[in-house]
Amino acid sequence: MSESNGALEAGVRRRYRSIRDSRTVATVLSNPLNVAGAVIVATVTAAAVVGPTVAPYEPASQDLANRLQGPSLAHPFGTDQLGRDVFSRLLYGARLSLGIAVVVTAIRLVLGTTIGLVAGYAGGWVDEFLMRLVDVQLAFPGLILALVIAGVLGPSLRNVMIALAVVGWASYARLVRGSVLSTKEREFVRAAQLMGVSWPRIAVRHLLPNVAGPVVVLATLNVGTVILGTAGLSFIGLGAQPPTPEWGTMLSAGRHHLRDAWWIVNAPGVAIMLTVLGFNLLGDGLRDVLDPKQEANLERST
Amino acid sequence: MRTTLSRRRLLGSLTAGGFAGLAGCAASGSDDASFTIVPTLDPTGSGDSWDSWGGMTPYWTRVVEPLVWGTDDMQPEPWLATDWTATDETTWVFDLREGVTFHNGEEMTADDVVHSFEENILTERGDFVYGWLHLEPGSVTKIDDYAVEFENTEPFSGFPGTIAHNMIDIQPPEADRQAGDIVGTGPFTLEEMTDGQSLRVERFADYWGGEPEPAELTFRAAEDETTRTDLLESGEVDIVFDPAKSRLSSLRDRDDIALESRQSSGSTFVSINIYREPTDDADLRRALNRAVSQPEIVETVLEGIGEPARGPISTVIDWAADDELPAYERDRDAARDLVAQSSYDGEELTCLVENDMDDGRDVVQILQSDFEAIGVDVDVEVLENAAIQDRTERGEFHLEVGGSQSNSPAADYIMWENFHTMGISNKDLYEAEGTGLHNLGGEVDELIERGFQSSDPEEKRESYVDAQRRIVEEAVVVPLFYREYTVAADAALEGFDLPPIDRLVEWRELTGS
Amino acid sequence: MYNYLVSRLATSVVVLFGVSLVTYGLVFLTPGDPARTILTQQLERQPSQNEVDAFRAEQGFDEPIPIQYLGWLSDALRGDLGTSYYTDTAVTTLVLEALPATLELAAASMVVALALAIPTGVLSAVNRGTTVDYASQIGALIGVSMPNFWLGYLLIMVFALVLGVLPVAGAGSFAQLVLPAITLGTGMAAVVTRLVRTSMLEVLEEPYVDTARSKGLRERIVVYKHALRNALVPVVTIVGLQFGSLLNGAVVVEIVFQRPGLGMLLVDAVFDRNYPVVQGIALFTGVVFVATNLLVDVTYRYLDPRVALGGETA
Repeated sequence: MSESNGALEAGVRRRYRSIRDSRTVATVLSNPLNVAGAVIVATVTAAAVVGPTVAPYEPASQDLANRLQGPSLAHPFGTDQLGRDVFSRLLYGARLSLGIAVVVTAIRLVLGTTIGLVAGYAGGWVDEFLMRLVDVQLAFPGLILALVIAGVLGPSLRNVMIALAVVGWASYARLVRGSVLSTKEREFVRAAQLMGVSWPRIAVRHLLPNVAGPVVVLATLNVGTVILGTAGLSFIGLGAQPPTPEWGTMLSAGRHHLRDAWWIVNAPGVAIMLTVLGFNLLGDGLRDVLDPKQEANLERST
Repeated sequence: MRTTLSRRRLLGSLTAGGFAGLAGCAASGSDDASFTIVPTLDPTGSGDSWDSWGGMTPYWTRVVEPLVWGTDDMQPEPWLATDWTATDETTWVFDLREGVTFHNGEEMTADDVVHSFEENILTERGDFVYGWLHLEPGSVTKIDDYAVEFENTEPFSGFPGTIAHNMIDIQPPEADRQAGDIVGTGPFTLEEMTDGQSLRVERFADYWGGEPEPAELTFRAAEDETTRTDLLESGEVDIVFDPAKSRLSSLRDRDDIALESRQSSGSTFVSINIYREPTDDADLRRALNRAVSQPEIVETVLEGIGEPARGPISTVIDWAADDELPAYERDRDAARDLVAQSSYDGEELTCLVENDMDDGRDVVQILQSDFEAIGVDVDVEVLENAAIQDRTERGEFHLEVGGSQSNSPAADYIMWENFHTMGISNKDLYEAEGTGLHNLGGEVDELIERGFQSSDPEEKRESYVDAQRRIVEEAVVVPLFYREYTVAADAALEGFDLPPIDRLVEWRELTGS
Repeated sequence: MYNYLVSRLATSVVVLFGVSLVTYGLVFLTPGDPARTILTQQLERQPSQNEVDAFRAEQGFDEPIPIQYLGWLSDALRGDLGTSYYTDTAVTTLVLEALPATLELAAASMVVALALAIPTGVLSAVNRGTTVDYASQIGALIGVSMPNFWLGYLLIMVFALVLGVLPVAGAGSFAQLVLPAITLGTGMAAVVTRLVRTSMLEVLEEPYVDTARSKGLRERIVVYKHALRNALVPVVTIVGLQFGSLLNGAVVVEIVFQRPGLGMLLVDAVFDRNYPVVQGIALFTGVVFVATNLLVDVTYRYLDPRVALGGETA
């Protein structure tokens, strides 16, 4: 395990070194969009890490006497219909919402990468079978399949995560397989095979590093997609149970107050929008560095 | 034919899900006035609930009518039947109104009544109806053209008030109802229906109660409270039921919109599973009662729409108890003491709430926080109807935020179905495991039976009040509030009153100024 | 070409088989006994053992699952997707009734997406690297970064309530289509904007654009007449492939705007545990997806034999 991590890390580090000194980095940083994306993602991540410790109130603590209060010094984003501090709920929610997105993305990535590796490396009927599996997953509009799975399993955050993870791994598998097919005939792989290196080791040492770039780009863009997917499923009624301060749930529960207390719905709305925007910008920026061949990615939709 | 009668709709728990809509048109003042109304349920039923009427809801639309109607104080009122008498303990003779014309021009006679009950109601909808109406197939017979006899399966004094229900309607045998050919006796005729969006009715000039005022009514689907409110505010519709609570204050400020509220036959309470640990402990249940402040809930998330409740039955129902019931006022110290002496030791209680219940999410979170304040942990599960039923049928929950509502003046079935051992809520688990959900059994069963059968209003009331007192003393429920419903309308509209049963509101005299 | 067609068709058949397996298998994710669950929902009470047995026999639940599946599949191949558990309506009828509203919404959203994306993308490409470029890109991305239902309710508030120029909800008229189409279209506009920008940048590098410039034609004509026309060819094709992903957004948008389409039908069916309807819609969308991809692949191959497009959408 530690060895494979080491190999991956080495690969990434090698790539990092190679680009650090190039002019690409300067180009990337000269694009204000990339900088904006990186700043947003860093801010949200920081909020997710320290949020709960700096939040002025408990996310579930109600104060019915002070319900529906507009933004003020005591409550920078106002209070909701139960008198809870919206700002504190957002901070707690950052960890939750970002956590969900990262975990779901990680599952997709690991699942998809493994399948892609196996398919590309093994070839033959294994490849054929796995790729048809990929086709089958891609044959369903993602959110529709997720909706059915989450709906059949019942409304809870865990089921939403399962549903979103199950419907999003195929793009990784396809990407990784393609890359494996193009590298596995190369000499250094051949050499490793001849030396009797085991295939998981070859995969991790030689095949994965080549595809790490595009995979990282896809995963970055995916985080945004998953956040939006969670919000959509929450709205349909399959999301987190109260009083969980998950952003999508806050947004859909607050919508009845759009006209009389705009802050309740717009605060989580803006938070989601900025976060997704940040990951999209960052993903696009990373693509220019890590995956210059890849053109506009079609995978981005709610 | 499958049963499409829904227990939840009959017991009238809160509004259900489904969506759609169509632009409305609102003319006013003239002879050809036309109005658009948005009830709380999709009037076209989205295909799943109103099969017996070709998809049209029998509520609100006033196309079909029952024999008996309800008065403003929840008493049965002559309608297509002019009079009824109990000829013995279980037999009723109903005299029919003469000169009632169906929309196809034929006169209504006893044959149509017998057909409607025997074929449409008893045979088609199946055995659930037997228990509701206490009638079985073959028990409705014609005496002459204008008199019909009903034979109840057991003494049932509430029979006339029970059939005063929109779903117990009279239609002639010729009507092909399933295909949407609805031939009623009501003041309006069904003209056009777009599934999931709207339906349009027109004035029936030969209505037995005189020609109705409006030439045309459109009923639009919008089961989401915020969408209903938006439709009214944007001027697309004229009347909406139950606008969003969050918008009430801004609607009140508008001169062009009139708001009216009326206490309904519904009541919201937490029903407790008294056969599951640890809520089988009455001390814990009393503690929960002492944790809650009903006035606080009404004043905050309900925006004043509703009355703090002491009991589970809306006080518009004549045998409902309120003053007679013990009041558990909020006292957190007393509640904590009760928790301490109960068998509760920190486990998480499950509280179910239906996702379509207006304000349900907010109410349940207030309860959760109240219970937490006395040291009782509650895990809230907001679920859709199917999942809730799944869980309640198996008894896998501790608390459920729900309630009761009668859509007919006789509300006996609320007591029976919720609290009697053989009621719908309890029967299956009782038969399978000797338990139930909210049934104390023994004397409470006897009191409910006596109330149910008694034809003496005093005795009925006494028995039911006694039953309610025991239910509240044993804390089978946490009463929350007696419901009120609100109608928001274009301020220029006149000529409609709000009865306690919102589904009995009439549009015959609706005018534009 | 012929060989390609045959192999591509064969693959599609295999994929469709997999799609049908997944669709059918979804039901078995339900916790507990599906027959009992369905009956409880249908009868609104706990069914008796006799009723459960009768229902199992009627629905063929007694058969081994593979046999049930084959029965369902052979019916489905003949266009019979079963009947709704709650009404006796055929699932095919329900799907076909709901389809036009969804197609109308999807088509209108594409129009909105193109109408927003083409000018933005062109502006962005022509002003590459300037503030205009960045602003256009950010603007397009904001559309795709907003949860659809939030955008929808904001639009209702502004256009229906504050300005009072468009209806709140419903389906049937053109005015009622505008806000839903904008809500769904803005999400897609981001993807299309990026495509237009990239495609435009490439075309602007082509020698014939330089030629046109050198001939003294006004820049605007060069850009719009020559470059844009060429740039749009790949864009329009790829946009066609996005149709399926529009279905994702349609679910939420139909609920917000109370439009009775496929998405709303699916959500109701999922909540009612109306499994034949759920399976029917899932199978239908799967088949449409596979067929679209096949069509696009074959067309591409036919038009340009060098291209082998993956047809990847999500």
